[in-house]
Amino acid sequence: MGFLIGNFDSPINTWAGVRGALTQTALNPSTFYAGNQIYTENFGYFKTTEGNGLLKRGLDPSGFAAALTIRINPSTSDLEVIYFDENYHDEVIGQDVENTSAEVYTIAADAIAPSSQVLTPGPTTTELVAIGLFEPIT
Amino acid sequence: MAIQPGVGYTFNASSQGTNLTIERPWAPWAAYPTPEPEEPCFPFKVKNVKEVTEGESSIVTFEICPGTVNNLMPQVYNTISEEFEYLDDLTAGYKLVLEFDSTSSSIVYLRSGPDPTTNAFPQAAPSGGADDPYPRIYSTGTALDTDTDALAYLAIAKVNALGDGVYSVDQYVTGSLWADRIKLGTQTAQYYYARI
Repeated sequence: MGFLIGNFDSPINTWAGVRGALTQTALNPSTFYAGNQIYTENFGYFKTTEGNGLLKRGLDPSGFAAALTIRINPSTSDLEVIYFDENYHDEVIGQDVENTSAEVYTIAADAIAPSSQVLTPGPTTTELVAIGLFEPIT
Repeated sequence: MAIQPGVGYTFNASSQGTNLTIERPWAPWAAYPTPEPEEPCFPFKVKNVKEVTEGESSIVTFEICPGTVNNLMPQVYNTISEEFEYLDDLTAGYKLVLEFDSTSSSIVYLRSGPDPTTNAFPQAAPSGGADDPYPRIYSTGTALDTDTDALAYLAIAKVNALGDGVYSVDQYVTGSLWADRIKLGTQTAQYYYARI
């Protein structure tokens, strides 16, 4: 019958803490207290193609609601799926991502944090322009 | 004993006794407002549950205070006009009937769904029909339906029949709501509600 959101004394119970957009750049801040977060255009945010665009957030290791992230790590060039609620893992695995160099990779189970997916051949660029089941916020 | 004059009547005392003169007769009792105080309202409050006899059978009617979902005013079925009407714009003399089909209780619930074309949730305007995703208030004497991609159900209150025409109300929702519909891939949509 749905979920009721209430108490403001816990970051995971606030409106913004419960759900958010997908990002590929902003691993921080990892907590969200404000209920009116604005997702800036051209800042690497993605929304779901279905629903209202947002997803239930996962938790970071400290237990705080965190930014849902799919990215090619600029340091390691690995593909990473971070802070995703485990209920979404099966949906995300098997989806394609595409970078600005038009290189396409399929998300494997290895990409789910804390592990990461080694991309072969290695990506030329790390910025993602397309992610399966999502579309850029414009 | 001293009797003081008041509005609409006077007393005149003489050696013959005291006369009471009523200059302004009372109105019939029915013209006065009911002495029962009106129950105060808050959004989605279910109140004034009562048994009403219609012909040889009896039904249970209720009232519900207006409240919003994502700034939309839900509709409810008026059995007098036989139409769905907005909670804040019910035709005078309306009648809302509770379903008490198979149990001694009835759940009053909110049903809403996304626009099938745009996925906007809830659908912003009524489209009519049995499956209209625009927010509507219903009641059921059985269990609440399970959420689907097309429709979401939220219990607002439960009305319990205590016998002899007496009813109690367990109120679950006490304010207007903001709702989100979250869906990824093939998973069934999940619905989140917050009181505003």
